[in-house]
Amino acid sequence: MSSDLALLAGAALLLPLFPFSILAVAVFERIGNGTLRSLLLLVCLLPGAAVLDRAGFIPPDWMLAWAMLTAVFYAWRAVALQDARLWVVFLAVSSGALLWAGAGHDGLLWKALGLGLPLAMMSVLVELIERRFGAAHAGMDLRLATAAPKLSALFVAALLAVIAMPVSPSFFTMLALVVDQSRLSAPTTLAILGCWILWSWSAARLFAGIAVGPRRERTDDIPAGLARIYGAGFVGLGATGIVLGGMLL
Amino acid sequence: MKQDLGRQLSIRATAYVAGEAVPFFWPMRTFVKRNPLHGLEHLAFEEALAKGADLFRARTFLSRGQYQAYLAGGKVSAESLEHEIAAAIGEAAGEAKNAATLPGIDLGAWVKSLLTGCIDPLSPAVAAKGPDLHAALHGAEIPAAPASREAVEAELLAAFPDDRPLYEAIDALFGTELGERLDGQVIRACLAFFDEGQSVWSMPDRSKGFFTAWRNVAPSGARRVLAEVEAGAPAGTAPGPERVIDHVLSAIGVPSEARPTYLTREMMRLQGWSGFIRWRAQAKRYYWSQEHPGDLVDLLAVRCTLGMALMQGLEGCPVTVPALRDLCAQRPFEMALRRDYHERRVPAPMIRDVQTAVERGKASRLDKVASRYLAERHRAAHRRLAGELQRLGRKTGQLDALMSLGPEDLAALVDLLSRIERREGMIWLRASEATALDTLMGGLTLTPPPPRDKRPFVQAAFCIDVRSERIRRHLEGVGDYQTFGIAGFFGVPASLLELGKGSEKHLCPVLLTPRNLVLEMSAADWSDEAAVTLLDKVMHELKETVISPFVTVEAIGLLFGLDMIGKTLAPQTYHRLRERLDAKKPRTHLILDKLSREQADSIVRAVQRAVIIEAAEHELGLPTEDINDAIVRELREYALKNAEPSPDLAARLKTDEPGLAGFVEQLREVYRINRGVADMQMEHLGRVGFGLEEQVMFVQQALSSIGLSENFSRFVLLVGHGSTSENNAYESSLDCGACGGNDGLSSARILANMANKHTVRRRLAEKGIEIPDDTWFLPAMHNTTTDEIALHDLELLPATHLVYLDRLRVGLASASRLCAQERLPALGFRSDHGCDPRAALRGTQRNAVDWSQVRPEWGLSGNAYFVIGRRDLTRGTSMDGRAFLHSYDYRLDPKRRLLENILTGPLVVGQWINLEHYFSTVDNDRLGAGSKVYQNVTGQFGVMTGNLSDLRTGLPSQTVLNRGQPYHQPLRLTTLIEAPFDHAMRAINGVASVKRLVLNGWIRMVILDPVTGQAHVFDESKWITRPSQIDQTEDLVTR
Repeated sequence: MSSDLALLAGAALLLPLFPFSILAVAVFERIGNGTLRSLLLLVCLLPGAAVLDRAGFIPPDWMLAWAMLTAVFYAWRAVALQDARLWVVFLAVSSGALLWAGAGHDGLLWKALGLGLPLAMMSVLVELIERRFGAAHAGMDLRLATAAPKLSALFVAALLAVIAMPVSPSFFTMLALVVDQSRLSAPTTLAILGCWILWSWSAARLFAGIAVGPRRERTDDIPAGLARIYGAGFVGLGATGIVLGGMLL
Repeated sequence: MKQDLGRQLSIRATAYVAGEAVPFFWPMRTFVKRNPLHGLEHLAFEEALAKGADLFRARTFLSRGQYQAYLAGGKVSAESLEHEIAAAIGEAAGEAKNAATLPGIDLGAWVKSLLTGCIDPLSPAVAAKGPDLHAALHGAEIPAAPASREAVEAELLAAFPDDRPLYEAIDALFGTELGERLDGQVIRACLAFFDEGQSVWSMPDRSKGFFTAWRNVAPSGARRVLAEVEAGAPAGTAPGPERVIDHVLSAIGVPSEARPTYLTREMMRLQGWSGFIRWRAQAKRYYWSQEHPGDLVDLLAVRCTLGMALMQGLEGCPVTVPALRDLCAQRPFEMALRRDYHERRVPAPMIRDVQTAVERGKASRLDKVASRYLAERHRAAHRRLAGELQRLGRKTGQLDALMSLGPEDLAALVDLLSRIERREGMIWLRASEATALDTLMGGLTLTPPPPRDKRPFVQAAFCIDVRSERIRRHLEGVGDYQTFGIAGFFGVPASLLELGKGSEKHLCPVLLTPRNLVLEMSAADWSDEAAVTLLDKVMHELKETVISPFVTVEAIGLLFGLDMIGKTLAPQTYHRLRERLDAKKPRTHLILDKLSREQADSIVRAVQRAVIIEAAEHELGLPTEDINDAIVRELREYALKNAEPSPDLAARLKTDEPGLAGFVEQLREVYRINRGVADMQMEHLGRVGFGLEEQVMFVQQALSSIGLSENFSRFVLLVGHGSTSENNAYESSLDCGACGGNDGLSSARILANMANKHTVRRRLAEKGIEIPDDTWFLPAMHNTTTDEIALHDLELLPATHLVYLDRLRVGLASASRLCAQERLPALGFRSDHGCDPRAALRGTQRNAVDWSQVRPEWGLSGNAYFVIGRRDLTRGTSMDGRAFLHSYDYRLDPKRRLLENILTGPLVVGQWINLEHYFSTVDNDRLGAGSKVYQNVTGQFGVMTGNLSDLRTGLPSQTVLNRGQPYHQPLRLTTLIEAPFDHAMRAINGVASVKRLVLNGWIRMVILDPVTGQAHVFDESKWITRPSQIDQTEDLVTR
């Protein structure tokens, strides 16, 4: 029992639920190194998922509700965010909370990876924007689509991957979560779908604030070679998604 | 009561004055290119551009990067740029307070480096302080002086003057998006009211006027505002739009002196809709305006009501002008911070802190962050400025001189550079125009051609449209063709009632109102429509209902699929197939001659007879054979109350007395067989045709204006022009502007008909213009999309001319192919199409029928010159389709009347076209129409971007831009008159509107004196004689 509790506590810290998530967000905000942040986002969901998976823990209804409320809360808060760096973190917390709905089902680790990979990619792109423009913030007049078209295209691709568009790994993860829960709990299913919609809405707002605007002169775009490498990365991400889909569904 | 009426009139007058700056927007069915800044032409060009930029919230020059590309591409010469820079420095130094010489600084080199080597402007966002700049330049710490409260307050009050709509200030300070929401609501109201048959459901009670109809369906917030207004109105009267405007402006606290500009800015937020409503209100004959009246006062009343309703719903924001001023005075730092945040000017390092402070809204935190932000903004601006100055110093090799300048000199340097930067647009524009003028002058020749030993094979008069320049050049190259340029309506303003149409179209510039009507009639029986044409109509009508599209898709969607596949994959083949199936328009005749009273009466009777027979068939069910002439005559006389019916009439009509009375009443009311309508029809028929003297006058004027008064060829082609395109809302913009946005064929037919009449020629001979008997005026149509020239009215051609037709057709076809070959590469087609003339022609033909083609042709893009003179002046040079060429021979115009006509009409139209292209290029998002891809046809008179936007005015991006960069080079129209200086000057002075355009710099005027060979350019309010560049081996010899 005590080892179960310890595992649970570990999971609660690693897949933090509100209000413990406040600490996680604060820690992430203070990490200045973009590469470190991206790596952490890639792996941050895995330990918690591993713990839950190993424990074979099936969360009780009240805990599931708590997790879903956390997920929806951060998804809803993300709608109003203008800072892309903070947005990624909020979506990471929301994703982590959603993973509780996968506890007790197969492939939880793969689901965590499926959600974490796009977040890491997004963090890398945000870092690139911050290096060139100082911040990736919708409150600035970036107009990325005309200022740096290649970077803008990659940014959009990352956004779509994070909000679980096909064939991103997160799409298959979300689909698997919905399928798992649809047989068990209608409110949880609705919460997962609600998060999905809120992520999309917040992504559209972020995109509109950062990329869209009247034409401006081109500034410091990424070199074509680098753009191709990232493009290949997204193709790889898509392939990973398809493979993951085969495994999860 | 009197006071109330006085106030209403005052509001109406204010609105009228405020609306002067709003350019008209004509319905797109006949697209009219116009100067969007037409209302500001009373100002000097530069001043008008500055005011226009403010009112339209638009750019009025290209970006520096685009001008730099012109410099690299040779469209701006280095010499002309240096010349303009030197002039600008002189002016700036004269204006600056501290204009002392800066030691070691060559300002010319600095400005040239700045304009040609830097992308971003130098001018700092904050006023540069010498000591701070000096510190930044030398790497020292900029002293942390607190921002001046008074300076920040002054900056805010300058940003939010009393004449700026209050909700714009609220949006800028509090991020509320009121302006956008208000615009959306007003657009919806306009869409519902002004629809011209596109919508199935429209606003009720539209006949009562815009404001009254809208008031009945206004949203609840607006109704509260209207209730407030009503409370103050005399009992029993609904408040009119003037009272509403007055109430709202008073409630908001807009000072009286600021109201005209306030209302102008309100209208300018939706300048497309405002322009359309303004045009509509003054178009008294416009059907829709008569049925559903609405004017700018109505629009402003709707706007003011909705705006006030939105503002009343706010908390924590100032909702009056005095409250806004007080807020800026009490909390200037916070307001400055809010403004910079919501206008997205906060730099990256501070964006998160500022966002948090603004969103939390705590006054103490806001003040603290604001002070820090303003100080940091000041420091960042000076650091950036210092960096830019150092970079310029390195580029010019004067870095040491820069570093040795003291604080005062540094401030003076920045001040001078900022002043010049503010004039940068004009510097580049004038340099571009100087280069373009050099190009023009370098290609002209005053050397007269060798005398002719025989008359030309064909003389052809084309429209002055820039697209005619190419085809004329190629036609002259393939044979003995002599070409002329004349306004596309050939100087004959007429209305045309086409065969099968119910309304007239005006075949003249929109500046004119034609008095004469021409009817198009056919001998063929055109009553049976081809099955395919009928099916087409039915399909379109089905799409307009709400439910049927869902059913139609299932039932016959496949048919549409075939259509879509056909016109997408094989547009030319499919188009040919459809042409075979569709009904062809039969050969028609034009009724040009005035009708005598008897003829008009006879026509009215004939129409009435036909209507009575139809009515009897329809209402009484009588077959035609039972309705003889006697019955018809009797019914007609009875309906017109000229006679009582015979006792047996009812029986002959197989009805009873009451039935007969009812039927006759129907004839009067429904079928309009009554005295009033008959008189009106007689009056309308009185407009039909031209009298003999009129016809003689028009033919004489047309021929004299182009200098064709002798040596007539066997064929004189009158070539109107039009275009062909599919799925193109801007189809009319490619047609003839001089013909009111219609094609020019009908105008050509009208003049040709007149000129071919013996009676007209006899009278012309008396006036000194002898047209030989074997000269035949032949109308033709130049399709500017394919460059094909089609001859018309060939059935009227004398038999003696038929043997020459083949040679004429071959020449025209050759010229068409060569012209297509020249044009096609610019449309982005593959080079193998461009090499072979036949393949090029096929390419243009495909272009014309391809529904996916967003750019069937470049139209008038590239226009830059307007040449009024003999063809020999420009014959030797290719003008690359950039010149309006109007033929003119000053020797035939001693009293300058012809030249004045050209200046009054064609030149003004050319100027409108030129400036429409100019502004659509420099800012296609605000002053142009944006991309065609996102447009939707609206109300059948305009387009919007997406599902809800302002009416898009100006030209679409595909017309003036190529892959986001300007294709059209925005220049003012350089007008060249080939005439003695004094002659041309007097003509310009004789036309007040053109004189104003020249004096204010809207047109660049050049007079080329063929007697002296000198060119005089009007610049900076004086005439300057240019060194001669023109080829002139001998003086012009008089005939």
